[in-house]
Amino acid sequence: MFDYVLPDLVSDVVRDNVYKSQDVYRDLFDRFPADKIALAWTGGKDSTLALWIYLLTVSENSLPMPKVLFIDEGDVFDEIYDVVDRVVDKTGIHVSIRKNDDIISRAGGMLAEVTVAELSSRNRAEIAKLGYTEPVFAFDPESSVGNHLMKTVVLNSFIEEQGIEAVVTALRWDEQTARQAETYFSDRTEPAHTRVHPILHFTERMVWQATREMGIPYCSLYKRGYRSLGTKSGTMTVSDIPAWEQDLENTSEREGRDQGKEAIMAQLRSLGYM
Amino acid sequence: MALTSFFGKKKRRVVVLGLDGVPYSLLTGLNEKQDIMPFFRRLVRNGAFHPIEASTPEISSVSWTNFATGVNPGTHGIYGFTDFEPGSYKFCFPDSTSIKAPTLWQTLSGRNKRSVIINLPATYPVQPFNGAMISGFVSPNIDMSVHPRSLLPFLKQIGYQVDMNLAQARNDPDYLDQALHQTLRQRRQVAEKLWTEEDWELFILVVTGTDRLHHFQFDASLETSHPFHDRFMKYYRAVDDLIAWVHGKFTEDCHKDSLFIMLSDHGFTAVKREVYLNTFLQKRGYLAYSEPSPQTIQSIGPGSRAFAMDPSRIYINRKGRYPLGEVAADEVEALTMELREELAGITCEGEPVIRNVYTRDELYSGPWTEAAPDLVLISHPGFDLKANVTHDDVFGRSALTGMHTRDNAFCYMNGTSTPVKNVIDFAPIILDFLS
Repeated sequence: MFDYVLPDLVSDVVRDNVYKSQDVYRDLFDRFPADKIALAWTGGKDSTLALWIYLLTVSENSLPMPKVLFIDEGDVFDEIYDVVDRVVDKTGIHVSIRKNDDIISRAGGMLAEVTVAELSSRNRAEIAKLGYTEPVFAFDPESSVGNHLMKTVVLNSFIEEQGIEAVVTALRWDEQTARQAETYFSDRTEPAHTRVHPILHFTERMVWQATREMGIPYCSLYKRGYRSLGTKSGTMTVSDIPAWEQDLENTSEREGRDQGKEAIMAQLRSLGYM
Repeated sequence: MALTSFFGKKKRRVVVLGLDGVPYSLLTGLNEKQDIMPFFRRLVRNGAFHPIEASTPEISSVSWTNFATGVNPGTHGIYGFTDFEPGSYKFCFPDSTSIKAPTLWQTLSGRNKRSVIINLPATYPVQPFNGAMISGFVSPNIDMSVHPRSLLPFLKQIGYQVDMNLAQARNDPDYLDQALHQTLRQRRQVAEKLWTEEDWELFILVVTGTDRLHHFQFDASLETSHPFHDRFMKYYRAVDDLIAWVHGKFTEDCHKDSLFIMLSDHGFTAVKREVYLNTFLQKRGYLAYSEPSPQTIQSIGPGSRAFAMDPSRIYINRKGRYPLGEVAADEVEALTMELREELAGITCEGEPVIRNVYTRDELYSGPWTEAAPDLVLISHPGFDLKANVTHDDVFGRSALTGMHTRDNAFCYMNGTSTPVKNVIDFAPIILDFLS
């Protein structure tokens, strides 16, 4: 078992943020048995931090180890797998790695055409549920069909198969304004489970301060300027200096992923709408 | 060549050519000249050509969604380009995922019919459906603007732009002129490709450059001495070429009993004065800010009873709905009536500014009426209603010379057709025609 304590040099502000997350985790571990809890780990900075505080809380309280799920959405950076290996080496935890093999084996590469009729009945049913009626789709985990099949369906299958009741994810309030209504615990249906968001209160700056002070492994792409990691083909770097040295407060974390809000506001403003 | 004509049997189809923000009166004016829109002035002799009314409020995201769904905002849920996140004063931007009613192409997908939709506003991000789509304004990311994704390499190859850089267009007339023609060419390139490669029943192509030109240079249409008058006319000649091309293909490839529709989503007129509704509300004591120089309405402060969102939506700051809500449920009606009177009485140098003040119940019906603004204003022509909060005076001017109007949008339909009065009336006609 990974025996981890918060290093002495950790600053008070990081400590306060970590304690707040630990309150959420203790509440979670009180409410659900360990084998009904899974943390969804992407290998990104946020869910790795959430994982670390999860392990810290388990270790401090000598609790049984809950599950850790890594979803391979089919277009993962090699550097993400590197950090998964490093974390596993360092902690000795067991990680369940799942992917939608049915789709990946048939696609064979990004934007390759996948024939719906050749897929498993589960995948066909999920595609029908989306209202998608074409005989083929182009494989891309960041398209709406792709995202559903490669991430949501994999997660839902894991929940159903393992009887999971609580899923931990690493949403943060400052990530994008759409997140601001999120709460630490929120219930989901189909399948029924509780979503738990223990690091909601962390800012991007605080994630980096905590990661570095606590000695948490992180993906090398951040050092090369990436701020937020999606798929290999859908993510660009926005700078060539390490993420934590960038002007985090005045630039967009997800800029390399989608030019979203800022671009919309600029266009609307030019037509006199803001 | 489409498969259907290959076998000598042409399909009954519907073709819609949208010209964003083109007023009926501008087209009748241009049709009086011989050489600006030679094709269109001949076309309108065969068929119904008349003014129609836009949505309320009269902006593209609402009006085109009325067009696409055939239902009002109380049923589809889109009231503007901006909204607040639930329970907060943080902006969010309603998009295609916020539309709560089925669109034409979704309904047709269910009937196993294919549609091609190019540059229709308020369709971003694209959702999977039976057909092909390149979404229109506002589409911040090309990768999420295209369905199916297999079209992306082609679009990237031709450097397709969903919209020009509007900030640059506002300040640089040469860029505006070049970008207008470039985007028009790109729409046509995409239309040419999808017209033949897809086997469709509904084809919608929207030109949005007209709206951009009007926002920035509507004055150039009216004054022959305007330095950009000739450019304005040159763009309309290019639009006429596009109409001629689309109609030519329509005649060639569609069954003779097919429907050809042209429309705009709102009218346009010249701006006399911009009218800053939040400044008016602040001066009358209905609105306060949390900081001395607010940049957006997100800086609303304690003690506020009402605020405005673009273009002319007035919301009561209700308790329970907003963090700084001041107005209890039983006070809402009295305040609504009080505001209605106050706003209707705005004058500018003795001239009345507001033509109509509507309550939500007069305009909207359906499950999403609760999310509606409490009042929506329609101004007299020339008074451009804005929710901008940065002005100390209620009246002002900006670089924008054109403003939307609710009346004076246009419609053209071939043959004898069902009378259309409003953009909302097309969807049932199209669905009925393709049943």
